[in-house]
Amino acid sequence: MGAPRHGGTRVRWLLGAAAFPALFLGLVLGMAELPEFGDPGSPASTHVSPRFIEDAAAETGAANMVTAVLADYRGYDTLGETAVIFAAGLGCLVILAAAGGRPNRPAAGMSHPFGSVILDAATRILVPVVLLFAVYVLIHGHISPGGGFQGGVLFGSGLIMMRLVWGPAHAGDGQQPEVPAFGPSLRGSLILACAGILGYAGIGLAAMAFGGEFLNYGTLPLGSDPAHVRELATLGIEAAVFLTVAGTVGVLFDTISIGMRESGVPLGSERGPRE
Amino acid sequence: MAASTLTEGFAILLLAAGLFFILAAVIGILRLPDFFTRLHAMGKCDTAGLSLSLLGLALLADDLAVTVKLVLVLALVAVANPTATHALARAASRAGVKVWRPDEPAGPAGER
Amino acid sequence: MAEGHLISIGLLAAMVVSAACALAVKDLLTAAALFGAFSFLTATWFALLGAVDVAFTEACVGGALTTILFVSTAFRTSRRFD
Repeated sequence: MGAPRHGGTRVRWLLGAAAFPALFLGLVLGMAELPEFGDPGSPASTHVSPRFIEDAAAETGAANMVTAVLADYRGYDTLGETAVIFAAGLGCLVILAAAGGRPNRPAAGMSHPFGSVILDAATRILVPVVLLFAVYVLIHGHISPGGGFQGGVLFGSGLIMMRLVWGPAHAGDGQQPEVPAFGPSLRGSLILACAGILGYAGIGLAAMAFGGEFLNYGTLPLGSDPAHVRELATLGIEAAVFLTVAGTVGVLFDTISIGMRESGVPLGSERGPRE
Repeated sequence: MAASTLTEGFAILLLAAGLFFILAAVIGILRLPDFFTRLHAMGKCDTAGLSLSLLGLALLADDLAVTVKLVLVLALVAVANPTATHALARAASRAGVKVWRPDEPAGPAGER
Repeated sequence: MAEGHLISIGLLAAMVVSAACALAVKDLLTAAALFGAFSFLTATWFALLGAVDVAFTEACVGGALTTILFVSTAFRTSRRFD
């Protein structure tokens, strides 16, 4: 395949050569029109920010305004964002399941226990710390930077760490010893993610059921102080985001690295480098 | 006043030592011939440099909470960094990365 | 402020370099590592600008998670991009 491909490459190259300066120029011009960073006279600093800075803590009980905005004022946006993440994990699962009608080859070295005493001991020390820190980030997101999303990613990272070092759970067959399950299986991760996104929507619907708008938590019967009610509901939302993100991370890693057969059992048992 | 000056001087000493080790790690990565020797330089010097820098910063911190956090980070680094180095070396050894020999002038990692 | 500007310019320059290198290299594992470096630089820059929440997210997601996913994808498919 000589000429057509060459022509196509050339057209693409020309398009790129034309698009890149145009995009660059457009971005630079757009940047020039933006208010200066930290400009106290910009519209965002005079109209939007003061409202949140002055009222967020009293209205939502969250000292970290980012959490107040993400989980309360802009809860609808965060629901969409969480749904996007869930859909990404689901899409990955579906595509790899469709591609995996034939047995998927496991990623060499990624689906077997690493088998090192040093790594094993270090992981035993580190993983509980990582998982605990993830939950701390979730719960402390009201006060300090953090929240459900970061906590979920950290929790998922801890799960991935266990998978990388100890491999997926599998029943003992003749060759390999039985490995107990560390962390949720693929199905468990999927259930976690579903529970998270349904919990998020459920909190919103519960607010509706008690006479408010969708995701307007003030009406939930959790106490008399509206700020406290909002604080509790925000924590629920964050926990839902946490579950979704942690589950999706588990689904993504398991589907990509281990293979599609259920409950994390590696497909095939060949080892060594590919090709 | 004297005590704080002493602390600051000690902290500066620790930071300088830390920077020295990190510099040694960088020189090692650039100059050594193959993966394992580079890892040898990186693993030890990086851990030492980072630990010393963190100790110096912990001495300099005004807030006790910051000091405690830095010491916790130090503990994490002390566990995680050598383990990562070990994992890299083991993976490379399993994957069959060749070890450099002085009698083979062109190292397997590629002379730069 | 001048020092902040200098650090900012240094970080942004390093970001551009790591992004360009990640696009240019043919070895996908190297590209993943460079992208991780890009993410950490981005996170540092966000923290410098005062957006600690965003920096935290970027460090978690970009620095750790996507790198792991890229590496595992490279293991599953092909290590080289030609």
